[in-house]
Amino acid sequence: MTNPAISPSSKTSNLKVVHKSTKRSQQPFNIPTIAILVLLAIILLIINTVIDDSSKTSSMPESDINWDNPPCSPDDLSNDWKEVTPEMMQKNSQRREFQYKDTNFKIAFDEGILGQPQYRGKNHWHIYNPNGTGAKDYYLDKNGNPIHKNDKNSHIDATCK
Amino acid sequence: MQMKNEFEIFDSLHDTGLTSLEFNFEKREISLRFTLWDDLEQQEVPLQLNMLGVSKFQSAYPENLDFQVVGCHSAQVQQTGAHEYEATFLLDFLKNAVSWKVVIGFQRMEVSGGLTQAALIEKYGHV
Repeated sequence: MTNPAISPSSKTSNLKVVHKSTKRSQQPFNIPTIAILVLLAIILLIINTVIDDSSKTSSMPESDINWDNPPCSPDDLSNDWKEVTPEMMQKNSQRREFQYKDTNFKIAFDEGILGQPQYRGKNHWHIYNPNGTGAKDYYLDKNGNPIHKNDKNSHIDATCK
Repeated sequence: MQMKNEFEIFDSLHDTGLTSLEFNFEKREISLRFTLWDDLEQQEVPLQLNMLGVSKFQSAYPENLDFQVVGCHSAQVQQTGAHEYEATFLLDFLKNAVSWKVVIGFQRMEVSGGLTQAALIEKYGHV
């Protein structure tokens, strides 16, 4: 007459099973899972760094100039640069313009005039923003970031050291 | 002496923005509104020149260029008479720098706006 389903031995057996499954749910992250998560985190970090670096330099058009150590004068430009100074500019200012190969990338050299104050007395370069829309993003700084006309970082020192 | 100080503003008009050039024919006045860049606050700062007693306006406008004036490459002033002055502005177009030359003869000038002393030191202190 003994019902096997409610016998003491059956009860013990059922409890053991329940105990095992509870133990499993308390350890959701075993060593292989943690290793995979760490690996994913590293991959995401690398991707983020690459994207960040590319966004910093992507706006600087390609050329052979290192703007951390720019040429002292237009004489130091490579043959890939051709002078495109318009007549009006040539006649009225100390500015000279240069274009890189056949691209729309142009730079300007302002020759300092002896005795003139501020930037007008000092040789410097400007990097035109090929995608500029107005005064607010007329130039690029030496890292390729669009900057406002009159921003001090638009003047890149060309003094020979 | 006061006039000389006002004229020093022309030294800082290298590579600025220019938003308007207005004529008042009845009063013989011309106003130019520039935008300077405050390197400390990282914001535009307006500067207005009002030229009074205008006696001359010369313009060498370029052919075949769209009228897209964005700024001033440089400005210079010289005294041409006892109370007569002449300012020359070289103006930049969006894709063509130093394209438009404007000469204005005037007798007096008012200056309003401009950078603070601290912003001027930030901009020119290292030059």
